[in-house]
Amino acid sequence: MAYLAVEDLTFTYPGRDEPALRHISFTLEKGSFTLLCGPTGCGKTTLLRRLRTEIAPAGKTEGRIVFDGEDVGGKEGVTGIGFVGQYPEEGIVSDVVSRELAFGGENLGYPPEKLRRLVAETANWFGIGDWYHKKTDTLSGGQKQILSLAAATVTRPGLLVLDEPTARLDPIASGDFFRALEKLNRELGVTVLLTEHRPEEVLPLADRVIVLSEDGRIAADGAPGEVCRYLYRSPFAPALPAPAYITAALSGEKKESETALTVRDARAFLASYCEGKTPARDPAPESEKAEREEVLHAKELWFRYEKNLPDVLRGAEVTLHKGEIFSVLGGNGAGKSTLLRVLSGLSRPYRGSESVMGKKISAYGASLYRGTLALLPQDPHALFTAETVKEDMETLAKALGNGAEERIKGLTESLGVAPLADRHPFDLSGGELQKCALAKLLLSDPAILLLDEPTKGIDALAKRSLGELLVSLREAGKSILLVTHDIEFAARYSDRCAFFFDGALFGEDGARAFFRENGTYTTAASRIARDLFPDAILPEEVVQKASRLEK
Amino acid sequence: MTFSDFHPLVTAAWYLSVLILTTAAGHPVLSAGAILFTGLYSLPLTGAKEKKDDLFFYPLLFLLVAVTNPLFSHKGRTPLFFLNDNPVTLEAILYGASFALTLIAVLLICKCMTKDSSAERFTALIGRFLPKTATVLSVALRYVPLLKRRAGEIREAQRGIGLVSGESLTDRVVLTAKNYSSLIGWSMVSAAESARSMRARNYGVTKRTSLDPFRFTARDAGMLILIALCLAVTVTGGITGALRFDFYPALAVKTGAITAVSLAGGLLLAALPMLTEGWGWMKWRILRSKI
Repeated sequence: MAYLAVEDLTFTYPGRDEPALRHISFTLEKGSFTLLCGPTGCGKTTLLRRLRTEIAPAGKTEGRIVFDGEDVGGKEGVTGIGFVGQYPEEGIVSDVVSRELAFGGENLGYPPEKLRRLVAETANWFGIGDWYHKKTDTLSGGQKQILSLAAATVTRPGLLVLDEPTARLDPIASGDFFRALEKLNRELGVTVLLTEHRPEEVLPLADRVIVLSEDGRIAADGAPGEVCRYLYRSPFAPALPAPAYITAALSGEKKESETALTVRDARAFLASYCEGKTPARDPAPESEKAEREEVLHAKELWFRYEKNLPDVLRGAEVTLHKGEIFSVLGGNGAGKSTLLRVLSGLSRPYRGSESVMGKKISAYGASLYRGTLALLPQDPHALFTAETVKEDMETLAKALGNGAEERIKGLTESLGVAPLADRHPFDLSGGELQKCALAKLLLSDPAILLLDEPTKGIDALAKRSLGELLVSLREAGKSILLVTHDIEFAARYSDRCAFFFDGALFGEDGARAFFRENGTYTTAASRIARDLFPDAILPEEVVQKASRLEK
Repeated sequence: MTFSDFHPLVTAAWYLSVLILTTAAGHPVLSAGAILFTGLYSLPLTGAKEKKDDLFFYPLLFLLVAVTNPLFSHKGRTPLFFLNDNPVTLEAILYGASFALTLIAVLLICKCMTKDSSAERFTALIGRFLPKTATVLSVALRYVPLLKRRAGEIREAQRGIGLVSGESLTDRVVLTAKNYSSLIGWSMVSAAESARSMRARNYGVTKRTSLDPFRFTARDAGMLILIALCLAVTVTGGITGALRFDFYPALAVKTGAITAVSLAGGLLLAALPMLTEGWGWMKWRILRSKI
């Protein structure tokens, strides 16, 4: 008997004619690991939240949800289903780690002895011992999500439902998270159902993938390899991880061939694919260095937040040229955001100097942010203060003066956010919000854009459209410096890249050379193909080079 | 062994008794003792910069209160000089000084309470009796730093796109109000998400219990008895009038054996945390020297 059975589930939000979910039917076996994916707005989150009546969205439900042999469609207090959401900040409700862990058990009225044992056991299993007494506010985003996961499992639910749990984490933190999740599934037999818009890490763990279509139906349901082959022929091919993309593209219609889900398998596939064939001669890579005008130049930046705290910037040198996209990569907590704060003049370095458009940054004052430079903060929510996007832009335009009001219409249209003008900023999806934020930034017509993690929390297709937007801004003469941990995004859209570590920039080079020279800190496609095609850093480049081989 | 390792009931009892005693007695010796002992106790808990600020702040506060009292109060029998035809009396100056001591003692005690995490541990203890109240407190405490950080983020984000809190006062007020309303809006969205996280973990399903990491040991009992003894001695002294210290109309100080014993009780009470720390430190020293 199935552990969870969703039978012909249709869900309609109040006041809408079109259902958000249509005739969804699937079953989960005990101990299975299922990935649910689909484009933004397809109803993934609605479906997951509908599984727990307490957090189900308001609306009309038809069909049945049977969990462990019991119809739970309208039932509250189903303790067998645990839930972890995507916001590390909001998911945590207690001030101290130990109390957060105890929260679920306290709610169920467990006696203190039992509770203490469960909490101790759980903290030990997740390796929380070291920060058990810490305030939750002092934890990193990755620790917060591990804590949310641990807190959801304290009461030992048999099924864990996770809604994009790593959307706000960097690759290293999300790797840690998935290892913890894998351990729960493999060693304790916890059944897992999750959504994720960066599927490369989850696909090798999952034994099943369900794809929802834009109108809320199940579009595909099967083993990961099978579903990847299906996706390759759909408009969602760009969302496929590099190993799956490359193997699906090269294996063509051959049904028997497996789709690789890991870099290792894809490397083996590519090696056997290319065996006995000789690569077509590539023209020697042209030198990517050209003399260009500097719009921003920072020398020897040293910065710390307080006198007795360690240095965050240790002699960082940054140069941004006119009309380029420059990506600074690095892990979370390395100080990338601090670098942007200092470069944008919001914080002052205690040593070093910076010039913007050939003029010392200190000579600008407030005029710096009116037409010269603008900063996109990591959480774009902080930019919006009005009830609607339109009102918000008008307020800023009025404050800026200088004919900014006339620019609103043109900007919203060229960025494709005009249809969102009357929406509340907090109701937008991650991708939509990021575009509106960019539109707001561009009101002052700055020559330099500094972007802090612009791809955080947005899905693959929204990333594509954001990337193309950045390219078009570059074509219009803007100079863009972005800090990110999104290697694939940086490889696809930057002109130059550098690696931020220990308070300074390393390996600054043209994007292709940068990823070619890096051994570990590079794209999945480059790691798959570096022995055969060292210059290929994107999946489609690998496919193109491999298919041009001569017998 | 530190003082805050005692059961929260014990630390709460100490803070409560010493606060009540210092304010109710208003005896300069007790106040000065409380300042000395809690000051020493707080030394390892405060950062270098804060220590420096405190060295400036507390003497200034003392002077300010001690000097302003005689300007408003002209009671007392010993006029020292006249200011605007009003007498400035010795008694008023002394009363001001004594009141300033009490005020500083209270401030220092409250500071220690937040520094040595006694307040936090006490809210955790409340959870045992009032689980719901404890939850509300815990959630509120969790939100304070978050709101503070977000307010900063909003301010900076606005600056980074050209909305400088700037030129005129009205501009600044309007901008601050806008930022504030944005913070509220953001918090509402967050709160809805947090509520979901709580409900997903079965909040409100049944009567809550509380994880109780505190055990009441013999040491706690011992300390509690010691606190009660000190308190009893001093309060008895106070009731019998042995702690009278009158400033008006003229300085009248009770002395004698009973007074000395009552004061000793109060001073010992105030010194308990410091003695605990000192004892722990000594023990550590001795243990280490044996290795």
